[in-house]
Amino acid sequence: MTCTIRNLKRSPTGRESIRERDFEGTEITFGRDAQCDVRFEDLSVALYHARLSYDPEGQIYLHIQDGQRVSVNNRIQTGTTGPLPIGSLIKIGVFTITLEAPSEKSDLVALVEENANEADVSAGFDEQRVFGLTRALPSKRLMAWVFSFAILFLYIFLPVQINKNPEGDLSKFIPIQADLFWNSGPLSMMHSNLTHDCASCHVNGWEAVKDSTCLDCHENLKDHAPVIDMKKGAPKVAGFDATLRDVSEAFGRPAERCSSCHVEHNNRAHILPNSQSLCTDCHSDLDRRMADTEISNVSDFELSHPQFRPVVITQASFGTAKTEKISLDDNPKGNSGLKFPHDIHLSDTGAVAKMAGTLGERYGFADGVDCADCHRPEAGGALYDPVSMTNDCAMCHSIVFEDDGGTLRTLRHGEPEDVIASMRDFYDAKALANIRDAEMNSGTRRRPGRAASLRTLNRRELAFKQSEQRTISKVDSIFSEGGACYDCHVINRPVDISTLEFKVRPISISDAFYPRSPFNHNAHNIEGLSCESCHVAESSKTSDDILLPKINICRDCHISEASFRRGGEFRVGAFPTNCLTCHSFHDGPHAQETANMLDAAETMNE
Amino acid sequence: MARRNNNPAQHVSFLAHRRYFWLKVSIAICVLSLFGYVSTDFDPVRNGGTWYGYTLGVIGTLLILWLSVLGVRKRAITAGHWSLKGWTSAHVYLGLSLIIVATLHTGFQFGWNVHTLAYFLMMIVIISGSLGIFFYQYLPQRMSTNRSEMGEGDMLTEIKNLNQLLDDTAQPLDNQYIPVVQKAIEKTRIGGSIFMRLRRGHRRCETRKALDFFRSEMRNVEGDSRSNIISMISVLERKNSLLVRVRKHIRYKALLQIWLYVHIPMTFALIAALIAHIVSVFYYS
Repeated sequence: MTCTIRNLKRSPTGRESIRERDFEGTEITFGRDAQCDVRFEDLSVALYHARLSYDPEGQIYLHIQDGQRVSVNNRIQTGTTGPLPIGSLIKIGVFTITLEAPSEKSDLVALVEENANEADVSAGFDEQRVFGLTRALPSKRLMAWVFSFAILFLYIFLPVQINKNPEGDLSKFIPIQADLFWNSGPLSMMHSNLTHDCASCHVNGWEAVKDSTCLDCHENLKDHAPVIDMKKGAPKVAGFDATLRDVSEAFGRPAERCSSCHVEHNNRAHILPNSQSLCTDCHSDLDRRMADTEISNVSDFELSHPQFRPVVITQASFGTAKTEKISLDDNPKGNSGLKFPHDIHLSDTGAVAKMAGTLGERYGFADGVDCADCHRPEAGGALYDPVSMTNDCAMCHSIVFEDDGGTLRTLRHGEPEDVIASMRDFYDAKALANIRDAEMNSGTRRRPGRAASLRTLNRRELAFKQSEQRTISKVDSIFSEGGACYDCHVINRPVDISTLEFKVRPISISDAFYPRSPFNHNAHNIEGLSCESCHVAESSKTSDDILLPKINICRDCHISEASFRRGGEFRVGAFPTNCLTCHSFHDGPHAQETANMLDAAETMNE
Repeated sequence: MARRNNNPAQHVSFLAHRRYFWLKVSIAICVLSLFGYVSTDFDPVRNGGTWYGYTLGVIGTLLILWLSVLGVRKRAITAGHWSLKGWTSAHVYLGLSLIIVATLHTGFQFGWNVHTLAYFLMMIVIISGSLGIFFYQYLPQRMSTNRSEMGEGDMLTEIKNLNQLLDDTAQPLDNQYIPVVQKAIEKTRIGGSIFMRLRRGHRRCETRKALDFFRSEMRNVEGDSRSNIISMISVLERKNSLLVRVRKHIRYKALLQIWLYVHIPMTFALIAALIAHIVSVFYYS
C-alpha cells in the first residue's frame, strides 16, 4: 500500500532532475496547506484542493474538494472523477500531475511538475513604459508633422487653389471658402457685400490691389487735382519716409494707390481717412512748391485758415455771368440784378410790415415777415430752394397791368418778350373792338363812295395808331420807376422806346457760394442758433450784399482737433474740426474725371 | 539671487545665467517695442500692416525661428557665454518677450483667421514653455525627496519583491482571502494613461483595498489565522507606501515631460501657421 510522487524539476539550462517521495496509504492529498502530502505553493490552489486515491482493484479516482475545480485531461471537473487511465493529465494551479504506470513497490505513481513560466507572480514591468510618456501619448514628432501639414494644407494649399481655380472641382467639393481664413479683418460697411468674393479686389495673386480695379466700380470718381499738380504740390519724400516707400515698392506695394489712403480690412471706421495731415502735408506750405497757385496755405481751421472766399457773381450779363472768388474781408458785392432790400422787408414797422399785417394769416404773415416766409429748405435740408416770385412775392407785388372791366389782366412773370407781346395784343385787340363797335352800331347813313371808304380807313388807322401809342406808354410805364417790373428788376431801356426793346437783366445769384465745401444747414439746426446768428440780413439795404458769415463766426463753435484734445468734452461750442469736416478730397479745385487723369499720366510717362 | 558665480562647480539656474543678462535684454526689447508703439502716429489705424507693424512682425518671426532652433542646439553641449545654459536662458527670456512684440504686432486686431491662429499657437507655445520652466524649478527637489535615493529600476524590483513576499505570506491563508491577495499582486497598476499618471492618488488601487480588507478582517479572527493576517497586513503596508511613492514619482515625471508634448508639436504648428500668415499677406497684398 504505497503511493509514489515523482517531483520533476527543470534547471534553466534544461537539465531535468526527479526526486521521488513515497507515502504509505491509498491516497495522496494536494493543497497549499502544510498538512497536505503534496504542497503546492500557489495562491490559485486551495488549502485542501484534491486527493488521488486507488481502490483494491487498482482503479484511480480524483476527489476534488467542494468549491474547487481541476482540469483533468483538459476538461474542467468537480466532485469525484474516475477511474482515471494511466497517462491522465491533472492540472492544479500551475502544477501538472501525470499518472504513470504502477511500479513494483507502488500502486499509484504520479509525476508532478511546476510550470515555471506561469509561476512568476510579478513579471512584466517595463521600466521605459512605466516611467516614460512615450506609450501614454502620441509621439511629439508625429503630432508635429500632422499639425504642420494640416495647417499648410488648410491655410495655404486650399486658399491658393480656390483663388486660382474658383470654378474647379476642389472649390466645389470643399464646403468652406478657404480664402476667408486669410481675411485679416472685417471689410468696411460699404464693401461688406464683397466679403465672400476676395478675387473681386485681389485679382491676381502676389499683386497689390490696383487702382484700375477700384475704378471698375467707382468709375466717375474725380481726382483731387491734375496728377502733375499733385506731384508738384506734394512735399518731396525723403529720409525715413523714402526708405519706407522704397521697401514697400520692393515688396510689390507701390505708394500713392487708392489703397494707400483707403485701407480696408480694418473694421468700418477707417476706409475713409479723416486726418488733417491728409491735407496739410501739402497745403500747409503749398506756395513754396507752386508759386503760381491761387490756393492759400492752410494748416489748421482754427489757427491758419484764410478768410472764406465765396464765388460771387460780379457782373451779371445776358450771356455767361462773370464770377470771382472774393474774400469776405474785402466786403464783396454781388451783382444779382435784383432790387431787394432785406432791411425793409424784415423791419417791424414800415410799409411791408403793414402790408403783412393786412394779408395776415392767409400767407403766414401773422408775426410779420421773417426769413422762413421766403426761404424754404430744399429736400434734405442742406441748402435752400430759390425764392420764387409767384410763391413768395406776388401776394404783395402785383403784376396786374389793366383792369379789364373787372377782370385783372396779369403779366407773365419771367418772360419780358412775352409781357410786351401780350400787352400789345391786348391794346390792339381793344382797338379792333372799338372799330367793330363803331361800324356795327352806326345808324348814320352815308353816301357811298370814295370819301366814305376813306373815312373808314382813316378811322382804323387812327385806332391802331392810338393802340400803338398806348402800348408804348403802358410798356414804358411798367419798365419805368413806379412800374411793376421796375420795382424789382434792372431794366435796359432802348434808346428809342417805340422799338419796345426793353430788356430785363436776368437774376444772377450763386447756386453755391462754396462749391468745394457745400454747407449743410440741416447739420446746424441746433438749439440756440437762428438765421440771424450767422446772416446779418436785417440791416442789409441791397441785394448786392453777400450775407455770408465770416470765418470767425464759425470759429465760435468749430475748434481745431488739437484744441479739442486739450479742451476735453464734446459739446456745442467745442466742435472738433479738421479739413474734412467741410472739404472733401476727390472734388478738388481742378477736379476732372480720374480716368482721364490716369490716361494723361500714362501719356506723360510714355 | 544674482550672486556672482566664481566657482564653476556652484550651480546657477539657467534663469539667473550671467546675472540675468537675457532677462535684461528681453525687458529692453519689450520697453523699446512699447515705446515705439505708443509714440508713433499711425494713420489710419494701428495694425500689422503699418511700417511699424511690419517691423515688429519681422522681429517676431526672427525670434520665433531662432527660438525653435534650441531643439537642434541642445544636442550639442558646449561651455561659455554661448553654452547650452546661456542658450536656454536666452530661449526663455526672448520667448517671453514675444508676448509683447507679437501682441503689439497685431495692433489688438483679432479674428477667426490664420493670422490670429498663428498668434494663438504662439501663445500656447509660450504658456506651455512657461509651465515647463515652473515644473523644472519646483519638481526636481520634490522628486528627489520623494525618491530618497531610490532609482527607477529599484522601485520596480522592490515591487516585484514585495509581490513575491505577498505570495509567500499568503500561502497559509484561508481560501476566502486568496482572491483579495491575488488581485493585490496581479493588478498592481502603475503608469497607464496620461490621466492616471497626472491624477493625485489612485482610486482603485487593489493593494490599498486589500490592506483595508485585512485590517477590518483582523478583528474577526483568532489564533493562527490572526497572526497570518497580521503578517499580510505588514507586507501590504510596505507595498502600499511604495506604490504611493512610485505613483508620485510617475506623476512628477509626467509633469516634467508633458509640457514638451504641447510645446514641441505646437512650435511646428506655429511655424506652419506663420508661413501661411506671411504667404497670405503677400498673396492677397
